Amino acid sequence: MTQNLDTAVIRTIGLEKYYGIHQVLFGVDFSITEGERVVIMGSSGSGKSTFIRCLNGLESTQGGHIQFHGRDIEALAERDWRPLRRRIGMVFQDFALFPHMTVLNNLTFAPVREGLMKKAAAEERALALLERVKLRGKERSFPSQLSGGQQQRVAIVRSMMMSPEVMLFDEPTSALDPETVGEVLAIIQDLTSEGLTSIIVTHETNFARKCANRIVYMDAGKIVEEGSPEKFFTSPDTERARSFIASHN
Amino acid sequence: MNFDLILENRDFFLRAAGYAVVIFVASTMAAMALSLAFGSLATVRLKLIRMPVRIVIEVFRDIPQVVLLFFIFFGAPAFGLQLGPLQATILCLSLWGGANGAEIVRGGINAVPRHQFESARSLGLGSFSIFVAIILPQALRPVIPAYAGLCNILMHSTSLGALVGVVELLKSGQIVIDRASYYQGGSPGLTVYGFILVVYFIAGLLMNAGIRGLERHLGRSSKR
Repeated sequence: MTQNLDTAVIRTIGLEKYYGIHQVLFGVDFSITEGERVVIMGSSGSGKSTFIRCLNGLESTQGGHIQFHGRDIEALAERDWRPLRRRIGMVFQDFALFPHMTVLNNLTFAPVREGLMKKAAAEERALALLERVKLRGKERSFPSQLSGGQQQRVAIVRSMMMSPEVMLFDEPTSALDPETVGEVLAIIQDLTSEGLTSIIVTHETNFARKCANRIVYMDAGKIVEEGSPEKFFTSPDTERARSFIASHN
Repeated sequence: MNFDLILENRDFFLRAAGYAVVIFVASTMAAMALSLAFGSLATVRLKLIRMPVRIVIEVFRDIPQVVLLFFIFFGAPAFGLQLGPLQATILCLSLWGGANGAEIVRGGINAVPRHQFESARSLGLGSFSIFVAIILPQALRPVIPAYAGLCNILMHSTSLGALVGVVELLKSGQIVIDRASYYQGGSPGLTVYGFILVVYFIAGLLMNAGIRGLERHLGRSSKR
């Protein structure tokens, strides 16, 4: 599927990543436009998580470019990545809430510490977002008192507190019990349905069918196929994608 | 046993206990500051900082306290550092406690899961904020019992001051025994050392009870 590169929020050109001498990304070309929801799929070790970690500077890259609104960002110093990371939110597989802080403190700490909001305004926004993800009343709880699904919902809200332009979801449901996967996916669907640009790495094919504007399929560190969910799930071009879909249905 | 001897010398013993408390409090405070600083620096990515710090920690951990004390007290003047017995003892215990405490702090920091650092980074937080508000609180809480154990050792080690002339509890006992032997004949060693033993035992008992209380409290709150 051809993307309008002029309106691309994030674009990568020939992105390469090595762990030591082991190459894991082989010249990845990718772009996402405003309001798009792209689901990245692929088997374990295909490089999809590494790829989205590169997009907000959690991994360094060794070749190619990453552009944010047309500006090269791959070689930025750590201090220059900081304001950018507030615009590119990230949700992790293992929630990574701060265990020594209450839910409310988890949500308000970064925006208040970074001077983006006053404490009262941050708390007001946090409570409104908790209401939206059906966790109002849990603001004084500690992460260990919440279920996995509840923790992941708090983690999503924590990223949303920074009002990001783009959200990266790195396998947000793979550490959850099957019963709680649905509640987290519903929240992601709800939040992204309002036009929040999102890149979601997941194995959830039903979610990808319903929620994605575009599916990107990665294999062995390369994008081997991309297209609409209908096209991808009904008539994939490559044999690798066909067997991946068959094994996940 | 001549318990009157203890009562007759109670002011002397009290003053000596005061010196022991001064050594303990001063060296524990300094050791805490050193532990935090060196333990944190021992975890930084920059090898140029990390390696020298780890060498310093290892050196002070591997030297027996008494050897370090004699080196500071008798050797430091050669480097232009003239320290009295009290200062030398405090410096010795601070360095030894700081080095051992730094290893405890380093272990605590390294035990914080990497995703904590990454999720804080992904929120745009700076390294200092991440370290102070996210990593350190998680690193220090589980090592408090181990650190309290180190403080207990420092409390026992205050008696090393006697070897360089600090009139702390042990030295005061030696003086009382010498005086009593000279003026009254016989040796009241059993009474005096027995008294000192009981004082240290009670202090240790109280400290261990405090540590256990702290452990119970942390155990309860970690189940929150």
